[in-house]
Amino acid sequence: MTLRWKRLGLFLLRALILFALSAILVGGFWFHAEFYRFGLPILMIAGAVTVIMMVLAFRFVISGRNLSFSRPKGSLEFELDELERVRHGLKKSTLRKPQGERTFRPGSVVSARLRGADDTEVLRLRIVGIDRKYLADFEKGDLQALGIGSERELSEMWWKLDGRLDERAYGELIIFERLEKERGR
Amino acid sequence: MTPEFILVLVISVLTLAVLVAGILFLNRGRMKTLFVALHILFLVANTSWLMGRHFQQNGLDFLTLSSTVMVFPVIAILTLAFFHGRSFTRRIYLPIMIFLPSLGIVYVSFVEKWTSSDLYDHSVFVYYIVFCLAISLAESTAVWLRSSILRKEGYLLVLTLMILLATGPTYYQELRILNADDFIGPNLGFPLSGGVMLMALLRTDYSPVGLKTKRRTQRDISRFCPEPGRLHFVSEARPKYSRSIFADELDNGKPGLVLISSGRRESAFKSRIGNAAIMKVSFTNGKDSIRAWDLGRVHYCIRDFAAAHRNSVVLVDAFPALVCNNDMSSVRELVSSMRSLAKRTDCTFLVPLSLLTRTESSQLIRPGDSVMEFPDIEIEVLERLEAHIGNLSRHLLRKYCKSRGIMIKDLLLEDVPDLAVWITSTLDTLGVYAGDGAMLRNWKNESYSTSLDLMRFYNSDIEEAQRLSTAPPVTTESLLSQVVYAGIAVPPSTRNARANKRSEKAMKEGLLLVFLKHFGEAGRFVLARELGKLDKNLDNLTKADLIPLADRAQEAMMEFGEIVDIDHIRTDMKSKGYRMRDEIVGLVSDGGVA
Repeated sequence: MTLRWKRLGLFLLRALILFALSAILVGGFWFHAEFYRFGLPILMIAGAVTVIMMVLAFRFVISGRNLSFSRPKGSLEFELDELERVRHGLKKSTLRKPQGERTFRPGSVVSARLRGADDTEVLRLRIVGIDRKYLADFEKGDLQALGIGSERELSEMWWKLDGRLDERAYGELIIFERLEKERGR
Repeated sequence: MTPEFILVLVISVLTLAVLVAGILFLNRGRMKTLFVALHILFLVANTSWLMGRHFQQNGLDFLTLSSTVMVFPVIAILTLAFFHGRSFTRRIYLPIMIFLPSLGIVYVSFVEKWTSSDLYDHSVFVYYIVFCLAISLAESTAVWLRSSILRKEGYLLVLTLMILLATGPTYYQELRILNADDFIGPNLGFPLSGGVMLMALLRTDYSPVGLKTKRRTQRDISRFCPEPGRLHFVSEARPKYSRSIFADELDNGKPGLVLISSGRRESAFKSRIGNAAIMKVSFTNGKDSIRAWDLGRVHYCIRDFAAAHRNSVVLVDAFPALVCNNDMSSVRELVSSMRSLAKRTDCTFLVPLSLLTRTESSQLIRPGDSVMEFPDIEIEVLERLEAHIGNLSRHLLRKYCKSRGIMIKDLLLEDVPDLAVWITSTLDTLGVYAGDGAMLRNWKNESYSTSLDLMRFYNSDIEEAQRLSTAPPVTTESLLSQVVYAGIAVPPSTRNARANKRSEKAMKEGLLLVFLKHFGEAGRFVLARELGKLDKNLDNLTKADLIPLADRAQEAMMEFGEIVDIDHIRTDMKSKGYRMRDEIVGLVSDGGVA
């Protein structure tokens, strides 16, 4: 199916929903004719509230807003070998320096990109949680999730990030899961 | 059986199912009672309507009517109790004021012979339900729109009320319009709204009843006494002092709640505080765990605990996890709620600032907040050791920590006296291996002065903390200067008692140090022997006992001199005995090592 036909189909679907909403509105006025006996002020208030709600529903349908909750809300950058490990489920978290504001929260979907390349999304990830730890407190499970095997590799990883290493260094561990849908392939 | 009869029967069964689910899964006492009462009222309304239609009895219709009237105030009370907790239910006149008119309406309906089918035609009843629903709707809408941490609960309750409104009064009019008068009476949407309400209640259902906590008898004394009824930020490099203070407060007999993340170190800490209520903060939901981004649950957990255990202590150990999984405005709201909760319930809240960036800390601390600042103990200790024993210090410190099963970075201020004793005995032992008398003496002097330096550091911190606690209220306008370092602001009488006990503890440690200095490792046995002669032990030793003990110690030292039949050693022992006596007597005036 071409894009043109897709657009036409979407337009028809929206038109159908709008027609249904309009029919409900008219039907409501018909069936509630008895409300006229309550007088104009009550009718105006109740009618206005109903119409506002219907208008909001119309607006939502016409806006064509994407209802998908899986739009990426940020991105994480990886080296090529890290991306491969993420793809194969060998890397389930990434380490970075603690930052003030971040665009994503647990549950958000983010794009995985290749560091130094353009903005092409290679994978989609869902953030499971964010943890903060001293490097000295990293446990075996944390190292495994990072896709590394030893504390030395962790130190090297941190050295690349921060350029220095001290006993009180702490990092932010972003734990994620890979979404099935792959992009850019 | 008519279709209406079957439909209402099905609705009643569903209501019963929701009621049973509530009884099974809800923990919180008051909310559970209100939830059950609400469902029983609905169940009575629907069942009596069914029976009334089946048996054609007016008495049953009155039962339908009265339970329908009473449903609305119960909903209003439930909403208020949900968001305001015990602060609402303690003011018993408020629920009574909301509920009382319903009894009046029931009485009037009985006298005037109203029926359940024309209930909504009476303006008194309509005004009353508008009043009740307006309270609930306003409260839950305000929470939904204004609170960033209780938004979901507010939304669920708004949804509940909208369903009730649609299937109650609005539905009544609709049935009239659609000529379906047979349905007038029961509320068909109740199982749905009850289910949504149950979801809201279960989200926040962390009852302190389910958490194990009990008061312990006072066993030890706190080194740091955070002022009750306040929130204290604990500024420390690693979460050591906040945990130590929390454990001390538990030992002082206070009930405690700790919100802790998972990890090896956290597990070790949990084993130290076995009598506290523990709530885990993790990335999964469970019976005794909360997800790190669910600040609403964290809020309810803390609120319920603090309300049930006044004058308790709450440690938010997993605070960094809460900060990095939520936006700062939500965390600020949580901290703000803890501040007001601390004032209301006299609870002590400890919030460690370790693992937070400077920006994050500055966004959380408000002028007038209490910030307890602690030194980096391992750095301070290493500096002092290096001044005396140079490069050996790190090695010795590592050895000490290894012998105690801790890491250097986990060293606490409480470990310093023990470390001082250990350093003395280790250095003395090392000196003996040198095999040179002069060197041995210098070595011993150095070990003694190292220990003294460490003990001075240990005691100076207490003095510093006391000075800060007695500081006058801050009046400067500068924001920074308004941050009060109220580490141990406790009532004077308590403070004096605690200071005395601390001083006694330091005295005993100093005494042991003096014996170890003069007798080496045998000092422990000599001290025990001399104390035994006085019918005392270290636990019941007072300052008054020090003078006779000093005399006995001097005699013991001289006895050693007598045993060795060499003149200069005898003289040496004699002078050593005098010195020892002076040092012990010096402990009386100083309350610590002189």
